[in-house]
Amino acid sequence: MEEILKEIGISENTISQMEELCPNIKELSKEEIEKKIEKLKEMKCDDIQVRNIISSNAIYLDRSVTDVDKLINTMKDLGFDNLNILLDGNPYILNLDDFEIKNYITKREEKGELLEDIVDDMSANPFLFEEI
Amino acid sequence: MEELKKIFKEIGYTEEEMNEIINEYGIRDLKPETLLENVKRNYSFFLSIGYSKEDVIKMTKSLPQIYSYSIDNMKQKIEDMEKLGYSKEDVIKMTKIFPAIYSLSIDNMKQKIEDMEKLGYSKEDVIKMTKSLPQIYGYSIDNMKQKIEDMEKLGYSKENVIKMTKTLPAIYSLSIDNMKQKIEDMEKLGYSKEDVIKMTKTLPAIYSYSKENIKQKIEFYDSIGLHSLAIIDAKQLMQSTSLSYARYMYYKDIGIDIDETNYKKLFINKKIFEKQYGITKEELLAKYNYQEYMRKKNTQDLGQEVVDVLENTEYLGDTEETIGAYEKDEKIK
Repeated sequence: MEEILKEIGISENTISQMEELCPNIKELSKEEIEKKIEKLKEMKCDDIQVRNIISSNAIYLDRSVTDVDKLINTMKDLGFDNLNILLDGNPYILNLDDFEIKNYITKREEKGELLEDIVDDMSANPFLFEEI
Repeated sequence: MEELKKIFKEIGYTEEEMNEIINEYGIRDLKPETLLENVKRNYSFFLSIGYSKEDVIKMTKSLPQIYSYSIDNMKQKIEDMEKLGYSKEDVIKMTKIFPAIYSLSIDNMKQKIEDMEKLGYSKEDVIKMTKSLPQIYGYSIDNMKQKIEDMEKLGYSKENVIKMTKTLPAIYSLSIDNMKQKIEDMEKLGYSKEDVIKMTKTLPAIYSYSKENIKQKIEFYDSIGLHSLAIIDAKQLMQSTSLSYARYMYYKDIGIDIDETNYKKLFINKKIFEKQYGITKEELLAKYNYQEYMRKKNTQDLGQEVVDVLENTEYLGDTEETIGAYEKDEKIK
């Protein structure tokens, strides 16, 4: 596990901090981590963004690929684009489930906001995902 | 036993995982036929309520005892949690992250909510926090109090800690040494401890950012003269450096210098930016590629380092002189 994280530019010190936040990552295989890296690359994340996202959110590595796929597809359907930029800004978005984003947006729509405006607002202010 | 092995294999466990499960406390005393029945029953139940095969494997590897629980008990747990304020989807998500929830009594969970209310959270806060960090139900209240005290010693007020942990519950899973290390890392980037306390009150996520990530952000803003951004408007650090770089370069190209008086231009909404400047985010990011810029910068830095080494190494200097003398001798010959 450590080997592949080092390959993408994460230091030993950061790896131990990641393990502290998410001890399960110690059990992950090289293939499981590679799959998660691949997923980020599919979203056009460059090497720096991949390193930032994984090193700042170890929990992402421990999530099921199915849940991550559902989340990403939902976000795209809702109109989020340039996901690499959004996730580089707030890697913790990857810990959300699709229904949580949908529910948050529905609540704002019920207050009269337009979907397009909500998505634009969330994209420009990644800290808004912390309200979810 | 053979049938049991077959079903474990069909679900997707390796032989090693299967052996670990069947030898686990609470499982090993079950008769093989009872365990077989339980595995079939509970596996189907989990799939029927929304877990994937992958989730079930992961959950049962972490808590094999799940195969000894009755369906009625698990259904009851979900219902009880719905009464506490979670949706069924929340419960499924939380138990995927922290399967031990199925082993906690509902009274235990209610007690945790009450204890946290005494610390200063509302019930709604606790529900929201535990959705993203269900492990909170496994933390002792004494450890949580200790974390608050430790953070007070760092320079936060109790109210600050409550507010910060509402935003970033993961603070409870960080050791205080890790937090001190983060403060030191920021000090090395040119901020005082007071600055770091101030910026993390606004953006607790700084504690979750890796050293590599935060260093990259700060170095970029330093390079454009915005070192103070992290103190005066820490939340903006959340924007990807790739986008900040692209926008900064674009403004520079059209004659707008970004400084402390107009830095907010770097962070405006996409729609407004596109309308005002007629360039899409995609075009902007393609035109001003941050990774490319960093690659060139690193190569130049490396080149400069080599030059510095050559200039400052006596041995290499001697060698050059030696080569020069050798060439001179060759010419004479």
